[in-house]
Amino acid sequence: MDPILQAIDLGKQVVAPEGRINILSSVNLSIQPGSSVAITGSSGSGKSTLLSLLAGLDTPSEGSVIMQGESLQQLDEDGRAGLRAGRVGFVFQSFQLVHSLNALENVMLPLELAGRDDARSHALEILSEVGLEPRIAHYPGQLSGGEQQRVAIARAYATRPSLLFADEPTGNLDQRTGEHIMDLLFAMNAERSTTLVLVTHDNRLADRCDEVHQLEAGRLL
Amino acid sequence: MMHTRHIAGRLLWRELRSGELNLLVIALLIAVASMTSVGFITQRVADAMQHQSGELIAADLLVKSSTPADPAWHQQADRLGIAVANITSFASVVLAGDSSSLSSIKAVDAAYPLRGTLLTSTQAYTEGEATRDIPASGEAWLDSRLLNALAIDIGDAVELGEASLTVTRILISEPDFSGNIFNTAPRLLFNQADVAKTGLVIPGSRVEYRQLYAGSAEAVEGLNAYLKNNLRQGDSLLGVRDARPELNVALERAERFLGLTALIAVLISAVAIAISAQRFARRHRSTSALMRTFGARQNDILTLYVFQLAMLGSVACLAGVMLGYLGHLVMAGLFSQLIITELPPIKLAAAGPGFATGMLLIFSFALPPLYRLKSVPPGQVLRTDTPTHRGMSFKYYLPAAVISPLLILWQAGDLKLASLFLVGLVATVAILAGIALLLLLLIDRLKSHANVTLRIGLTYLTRRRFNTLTEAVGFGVGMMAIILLVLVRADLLNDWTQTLPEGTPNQFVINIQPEQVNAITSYFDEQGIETPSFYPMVRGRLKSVNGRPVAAGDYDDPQTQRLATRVFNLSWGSTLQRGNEIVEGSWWDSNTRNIDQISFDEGLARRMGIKVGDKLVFLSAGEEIQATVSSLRKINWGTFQPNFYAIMPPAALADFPATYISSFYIAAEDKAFLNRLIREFRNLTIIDVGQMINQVRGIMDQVTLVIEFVFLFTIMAGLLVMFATMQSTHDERMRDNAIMKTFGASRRQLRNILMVEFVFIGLMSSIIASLAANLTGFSISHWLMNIPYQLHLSSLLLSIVAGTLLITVVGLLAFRQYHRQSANEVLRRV
Repeated sequence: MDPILQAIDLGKQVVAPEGRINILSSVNLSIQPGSSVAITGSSGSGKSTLLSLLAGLDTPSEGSVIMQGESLQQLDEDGRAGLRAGRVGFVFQSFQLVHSLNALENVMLPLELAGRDDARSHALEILSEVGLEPRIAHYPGQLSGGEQQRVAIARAYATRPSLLFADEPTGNLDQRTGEHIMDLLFAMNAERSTTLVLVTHDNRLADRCDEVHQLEAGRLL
Repeated sequence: MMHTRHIAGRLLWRELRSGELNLLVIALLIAVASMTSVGFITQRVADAMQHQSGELIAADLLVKSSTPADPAWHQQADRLGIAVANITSFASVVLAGDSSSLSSIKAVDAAYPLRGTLLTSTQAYTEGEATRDIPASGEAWLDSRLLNALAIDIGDAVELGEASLTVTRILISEPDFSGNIFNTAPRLLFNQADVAKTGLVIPGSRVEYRQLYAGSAEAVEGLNAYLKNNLRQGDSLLGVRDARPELNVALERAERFLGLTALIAVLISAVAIAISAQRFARRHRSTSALMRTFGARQNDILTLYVFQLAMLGSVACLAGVMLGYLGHLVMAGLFSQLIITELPPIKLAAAGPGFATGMLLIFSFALPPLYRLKSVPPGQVLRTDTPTHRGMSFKYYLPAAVISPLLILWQAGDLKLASLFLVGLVATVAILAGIALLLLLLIDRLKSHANVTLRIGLTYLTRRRFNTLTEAVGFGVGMMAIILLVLVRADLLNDWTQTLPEGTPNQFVINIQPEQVNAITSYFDEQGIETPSFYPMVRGRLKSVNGRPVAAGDYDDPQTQRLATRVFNLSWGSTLQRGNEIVEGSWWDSNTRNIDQISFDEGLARRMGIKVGDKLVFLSAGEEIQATVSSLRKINWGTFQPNFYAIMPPAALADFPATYISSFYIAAEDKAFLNRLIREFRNLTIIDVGQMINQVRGIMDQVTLVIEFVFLFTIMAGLLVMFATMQSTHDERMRDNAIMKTFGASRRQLRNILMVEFVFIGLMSSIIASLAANLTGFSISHWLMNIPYQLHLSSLLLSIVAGTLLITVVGLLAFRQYHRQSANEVLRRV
């Protein structure tokens, strides 16, 4: 089976006052559809940079990323955005909910961006799936951290993406809530056969994935 | 297809509800309201004039003259089947018992008015009913103001010169009232048949004759052609189209002036819009990045914000138009004493420029920061740190930089005025900013000696120097204008009246017949009043200079055009009058035989290009007066003595009909003497200078009130700039406050820090505004009015205290939520 996501000799350097810094180098990765992959590593190991390159949120200094058979390097910003639209979901450590929109509207946002007419009914359905039906009219500021992350998960799965990127999804939550959130994430992943790419420094979380890759100083071990 | 409109609408609605866009909306409201209120009021006044233009001259055609109409004109009109009416008008004092009032007098015949209608009533200050009548012989119709001034009612008698007339109706409006819209003197209408009885219309008196014509268009066209060829010098022919050119010019000027005043508010609001939009954009970077991760294209993001701006702009501009409507009602109210005609309804089109300006502002000042949101890298969602904010590059504000001067050009109507305005505005801003910068440097040096609260507050001011300057100048411009207006209105006028020495003449008497001079002199003696000097005058028009006929078209400046073609009062004298000084040539010997010489006013000579040695020809009562300019005089017009542009040796004007003019001082308690004088010499017209000054003051008060009202928008826009700049650092301040709270700062201390900032911004803006206003006031009094300038310490202090208080109170009220939230709450949120 063709991999859904592939990184070939991926590298990223940035120029800082102290000179050129290697954040990532020679990363090769192949992710099969429906699998769950964890990328672990300590702070500053380059996890988040790798995630943003894999998702096409940033461009590499060298190498390439192939998502669903298309090389991201061949596409411009808008082309990459077009590839993500409706096919890629995200869950962030800091939830990244739009503060001026309520829970329901936050979930509707990617559906509407993808041009879906059933945005509202679909968002309602998925919010009830994550157990937030009674809170749909609440704004992010009125929700607890766990609830905010559940909205974010509902939003991530709303478009039924084939790929879901999660960046430290439990990083801002206490252990118990974090576990609940991960249960939810994995359950929804299994149910929808989504490919999950998870960045975390929590080994227990990583162990729940099919594959674990460890990053250290910008290189995969 | 992305549901951009839904998302844009929803996000916009939420942001409006959260108050995120308040400042931007208010700035737009102020900009649109200031433009629209001026737009509506000028449209209504212009329409009132336009609407009445058919009736404006009460005819289709008329000849205006200082001498009675040529009988041949009437005959020609009769031949063409054209109706004719005659009007004689002049100024005179109307008496009733012990009361008197200088009034505008109009005598009409039965044919009057040929177009339009007279409105009369039996009750003062009512709407009135149309009538085809005119006052019968022995009757007079007075307007409400005159009735009031004389404290009389219908049925009472008034004395006009030597005639006694009974008041039978109240005059509400005349179709051709020369001050139909703008109220001038009280009015009296009576029958042409009674003119002779008054004894007021005698050779040399200042009278205007109008002959009115109305008929079929073809016939009127024929008469028009005939009259053009048969007018005498000094006669003017007016058709409907050229009725009241001076009012049209005045209105056009007022429109431009008020428009430019409103534009200052617009430009300051634009600064507030730009600052608010920058903050909005900063706060929406993460939302934009998020949408990009969801697959939104750059253009989708841009479309979303353009939609938002279009929606926000249209609604806010519409609301601004409504506010402008209310604003114009206030202006109409302020003008009510000045405008006596009921104004026609508003036209929606008058709101067009205001609405368009609002939309232009939002797209040229608010879109640039939002434009950058389309290129926020999506990877930013993964960053937990706040990216450092880079300043806006100038290129983004290129549309704004192009549109602002274009707006000025459009309002000013011509390039010269627009450039002057732009240069003036830039210079004012530069001067204000310069003074503010100096104050800021001073504060910076002093603050190390201050206590902690003062020091932190002042640090906020000095660290964000650009913000502080923007705030101080934004608020200062509006405040400076208001201080200046109040200063000019009250203080300068007072200063001027106070510079007049005790005993300066306060009464002018005109229309004195030569044979009355001795009798009046004796009367003054008898009454124990110091006898004034009497100056003769002969009315005449300047026909030619060095053989070249004088025509208005020869001069560019409208004032010179008016002065050159008006009727001159030629006087004679053997000695140089007090307050006159020869600047070129020489004054004649007291018993000179060379009577063909003339001494001319230096100022007017310069305007008209007249030099010593030039040959002038005047025309008086059909006769030519020839003279060579032998000297130029500098005249001090402020002495309140009769002064003359042109003076000749005594014998030069002996054969021409002359009247005399005089001026004298009467103390307030001796005013009854004036009524006795009028009763004794009924043809005299007395002009009370004090009353005239009061009238001028009244008009100035109303006009400045209207201008001040427009400048209020500027003050509000200035306050908004202050809020916008403060809010742009809101998050930083909240975080700083929270940190200070965790270290134990009390709410009171934090409030004091904020108060220090407001007090100092208030102080700075008020000080620079007062300094700049006083500097302008000084320039006006020194160079324009030639009076010594007095620095009014009390008004200076009052404006500084008022400005500081206004900023501090409004500022503390607006930012009171700063101290209400707990440190933890803030730190978690920011």
